[in-house]
Amino acid sequence: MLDNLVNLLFPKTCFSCEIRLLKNEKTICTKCENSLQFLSEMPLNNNFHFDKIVSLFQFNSVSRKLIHALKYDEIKIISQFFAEKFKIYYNLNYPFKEIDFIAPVPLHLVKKRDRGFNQAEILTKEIAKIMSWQHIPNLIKRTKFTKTQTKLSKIQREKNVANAFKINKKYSVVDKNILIVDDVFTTGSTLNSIAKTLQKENPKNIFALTIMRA
Amino acid sequence: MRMGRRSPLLIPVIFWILGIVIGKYFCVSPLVLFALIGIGFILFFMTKYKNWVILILFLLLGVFRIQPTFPPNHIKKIIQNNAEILQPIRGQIVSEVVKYEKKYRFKLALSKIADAPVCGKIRFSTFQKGLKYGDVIETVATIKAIENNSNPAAFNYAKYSELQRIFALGFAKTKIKIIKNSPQQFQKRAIQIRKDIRHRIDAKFGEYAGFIKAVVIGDKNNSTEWRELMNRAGLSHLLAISGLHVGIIYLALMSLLSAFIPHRNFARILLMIILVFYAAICLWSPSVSRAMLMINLFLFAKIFQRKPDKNNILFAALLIITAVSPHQLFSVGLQMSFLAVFVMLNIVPKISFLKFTKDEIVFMKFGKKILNAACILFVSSLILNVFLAPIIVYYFQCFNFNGVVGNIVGIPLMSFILPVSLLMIFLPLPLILFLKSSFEFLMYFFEVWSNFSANLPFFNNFASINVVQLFAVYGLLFSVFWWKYIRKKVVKIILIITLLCVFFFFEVERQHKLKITFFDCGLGDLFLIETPQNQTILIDCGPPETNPKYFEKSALPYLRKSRISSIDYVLITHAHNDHYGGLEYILENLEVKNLILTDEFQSRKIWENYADLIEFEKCEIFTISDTTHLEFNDLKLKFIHPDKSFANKNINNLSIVMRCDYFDFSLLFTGDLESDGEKYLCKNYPEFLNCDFLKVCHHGSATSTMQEFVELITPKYAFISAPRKNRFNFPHQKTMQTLDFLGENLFIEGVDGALQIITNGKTAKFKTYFSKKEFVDNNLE
Repeated sequence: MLDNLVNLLFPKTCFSCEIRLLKNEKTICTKCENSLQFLSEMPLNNNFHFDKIVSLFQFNSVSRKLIHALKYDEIKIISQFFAEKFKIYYNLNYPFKEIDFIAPVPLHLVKKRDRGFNQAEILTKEIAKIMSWQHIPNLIKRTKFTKTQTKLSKIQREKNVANAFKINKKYSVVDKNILIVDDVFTTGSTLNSIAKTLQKENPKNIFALTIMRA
Repeated sequence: MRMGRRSPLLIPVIFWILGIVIGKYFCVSPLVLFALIGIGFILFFMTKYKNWVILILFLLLGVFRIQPTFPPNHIKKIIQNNAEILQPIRGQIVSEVVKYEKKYRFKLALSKIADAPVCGKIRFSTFQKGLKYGDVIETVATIKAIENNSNPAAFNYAKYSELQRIFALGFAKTKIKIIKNSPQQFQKRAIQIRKDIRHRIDAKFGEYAGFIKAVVIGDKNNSTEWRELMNRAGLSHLLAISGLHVGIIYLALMSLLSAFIPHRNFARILLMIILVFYAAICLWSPSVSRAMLMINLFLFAKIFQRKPDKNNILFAALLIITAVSPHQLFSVGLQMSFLAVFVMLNIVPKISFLKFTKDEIVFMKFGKKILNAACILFVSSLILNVFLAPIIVYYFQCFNFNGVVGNIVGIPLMSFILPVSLLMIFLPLPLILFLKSSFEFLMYFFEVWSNFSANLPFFNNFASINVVQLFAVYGLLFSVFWWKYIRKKVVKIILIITLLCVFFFFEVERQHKLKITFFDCGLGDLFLIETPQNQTILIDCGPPETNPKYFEKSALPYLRKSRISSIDYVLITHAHNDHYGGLEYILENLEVKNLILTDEFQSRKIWENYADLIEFEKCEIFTISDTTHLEFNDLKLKFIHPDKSFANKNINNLSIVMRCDYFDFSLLFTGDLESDGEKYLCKNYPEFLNCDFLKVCHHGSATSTMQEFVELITPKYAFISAPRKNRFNFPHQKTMQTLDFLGENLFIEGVDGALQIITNGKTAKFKTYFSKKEFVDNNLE
C-alpha cells in the first residue's frame, strides 16, 4: 500500500533518461543499460604505483548521469546497481586475486559533512557486501583539504593531491591484497597518490577500481 | 502522453479539478452522485477500461467534494431569510485576532444563536481586548449579510468572503464573555509564535517593520504603501510570501541543519516538520502551502531514494490543497501560484540557450556567471510575465511588464534581505547591531530599485479580457510553446486560427450601443455615457475622497474593465463637492480631453486648485452660458440651462441641465436644480423637456421636482441619486409621492445600486447592480 502510494507520487524513472521504468527494470531502462559497455583493462605505465586498475564503464552521458545522481542527488541505490555490475564483470574477467581489504578513496571530513556521505564509501560497502570481502571504510585518511579537481590540469592535480593521504595505523596491510575504489578515473592522480602512500606499508598487491574512466 | 508517463498524477488531478469546477457551477443531487461513485467503484473491478473508470471516479469525487451542502441551520441560510440579526450568540474563534483601526477582528465559527444550534463561519469585530485563537465566546451581537458591491465590475467582497467560507459579518458592542480557552494545540501555538515574531519585527525593524511582516509572516496590514509601490514595479510577488521565499528559507535551514546533523534523513524529517509549522504560522496561505508541500514531497522523494518528477509533485500539491479546501481553487492566489510554477517547470526550460550543465557553469568566469544569471532571470521573468499577464488582466484589469526588468535585481536582493532579516528576528538584540546596517543598506538599495522599476513605462492599468478570451489566449500561448507535440500541420493551423477568431470575435462583440451608467457613489452624482463610437462623457465626478464610495471605488473599476483611460468630455453640473469631488483624481489619473463647466464654478476659489492640473492636461474648457448642443453622430446633447438671462443666488439652480437624444430614447440630466430653475425651464423651454428618462433633480430633495416640471417631462423612468441612510434623508417623501406613478420604473441608488442602460435607440435594457433587476423595454414610443 505504502509502496503503491510512493510509486504514484514518485514513479520509478530511469536515472539517466528519466523515462518511466518497466516492471522488470530496477534502476535504469534497458536502452540506457545497453549503452553501458564494460571496458577492457587499462595498461599501466611505470608512473603508477598500483598493480592493476579496472574501470567498469566508459565516461558517457548515461554513466555520467548515474554518477551525478549518486553524488549530487544522493540516490544511494545506484551503488547497488554498480555493485551488481561489478560482480558480473568480476565473474567474467576475474581481474583481481583474492582481495583482503576493500577501501574507498576518502573525502575530507569537512567535505563529507557538506555532502553528507562519501560516494566511494557507499560503493565499497555494496561491493564488499555482494562479494563478501572485508570492508574497511577508514583505512585511508585524507589529511589535507584539497581543491576540487574538476578545473585542474594533470600536473596541477598531481601536485594538489600529493601527500594528502595517510594510512590508518590500526590496520596492518602487510602482505595483503588491497582494493581501492573511486567513482571516476580521470588522470589517476588521486589513486596514484594513495597507492604511493600505501606502498610504504608493504602490501602484497594494490588494485584500483573505478566505475568510470574519462 | 509523454508527460503522463512520468507524472502519473497529472491526468487524474486534471479530472479532479474539472470535477470541482463542474461541481461548483452545476448542482448535482448528492444521492445521484453517491450512486454514480458506487457504480464507478464496481466498474473499476469489472471492466478492462480501468484507467478511464479511475479518471471518471476522480471527476465524480471532485464534484462530490465541492457540492454545496448547507444544512438548514447554516448561517448562510439564516442570513438569507433575515437581513439583520441582533441576538445572543456563541462561537469559537478560529483565526488569529488582528487589531485593525482600533477594532479587533477575527473569524468566528458559530455554534449557537439564541440557544438554537447553528453552523458556519462569520467575520467578527469588536472593541474588546484579550481575545485569543481558540476561545469560545458568548455575547450579544449584530449579524448581517456581507454587502454586495453595487457597482458594475467592482470588487465583490461577498463572493471573495464566500471563497474563504465566510458568510456574514458580526459585531458586538456589549461585553464578550470567554467561556473556555482551548487547549494548546498545533494551530494555537503557531499563532502565538506568529504574534511573537510580529512583536520582534516591530521592535527591531523600525520603518521597515511593515515590509518585513509581509515578507516573513504574510501579514499585509501595515504595508499598503509598499504594496502599491511593488505592484507598480511588477515585484508584488516579492512582497507576498511565495515559493521563492519558502525556497530561500529551505536552503538556509537545510545548510544550517546539515552542518549540525550528520544523519541526512533525520535532518530532512526535521526540516519537513519545521516547514509545516511555518505554513501554519503563515496561516496556510495557498502559495506557502503549495511551496511547503512541494518541498516536503521533494524531501520525501529523497528519503525514498527516488528522483522526483517536478510536475507530479506540483499536481500532488494541488490535489492535497484542493482536497482540504476545494474552494481555494477559485482564489486568484492559488491559480496564479500554480500557473507560475507550472510555467517555470515546463515552459522556461524550453528556452534552449538557458540550458547550462553544472560543469559548464563551473568553468565560467565570474563576470560571465553573473551575466548568465542575470540573463536567466531576465528571460524567465519575461516568460513568466507573458504567461501570467492574461490572468492578471482578467482579475485585476492591469498589465505590467515592469517586473521583467525589476526582477533582475529585485530577486537577488530579496535572497539577501530575507536570510538577513530572519537572522535579525531570531538573534538577540546586541548581536544584530552589525547586521542592522547591512540590512538597512540592502533595504535602501531595494527601495531605490523598486522606485526605478515602478517608473518604467511597461505598465497599463486599463486592460481587460473576458473568460473566453482568457482561455483563448492561454490556448495560443501553450500551443506555441508545445508546437512540436502537435503532430499534424493542419491541426496546428486550424488551432491557431480558431483561437485567434475566438479572441477577436469577443473583441468586436463589444456592442455598438449607447451605454449610460449611473454609478452608486454614495451621496453625489457620477454618471457615464459611452457613445456607440466609443466616445465617453462623464457627468459629474461624485463625492470627495472622504466618502467610501468615491470615484476610485465606484466608477474606476468599471472604467478599467471597459478600457476607458481617456474621457472625451467631463461635465461638472455645478460647484458642489458631491459633484466635482472626484475631479482631482480624474485629472491626475485619466486623460481628459474636454471639460464642460459653468461660469459659476470657474469664478470660485476652489477652481484655483484645478487650474494647474487642467493646464497640465491641456484640456479644452467649454463654458455653458447659453443653450447649445454637441453632436456625436446619432447622439445629440442639448444644454438647456443655465442661460445668460437666468440669475439666482442658489448655486444648485445654476446646474447644467442637459438633454440627451439617441433616436427614440431621450434622457434629461438635471444636476441639483431646484424649484426656481425648474420654473424657469418650464417657462422658457417647455418644448425641450419631454423625456423618457429623468435623472431626478437634487437627489430627490423636496425643494425640487415640482409637479408641473414632472408633468412637462412625463418620464417613463427615473433615477434618484440618493444612498440609503444619508444625513439629508434623501429622497424626500414629497418627491416620492410626485414620482409615485412610475412604480417599478423609479430607480433609487440606495435601493437598486448602480443602474446601467444599454440602448440602440429603439429598445433599452435596464440593469441594476444591487437589487439585480434586469429587464428590456422594447417599446420606446
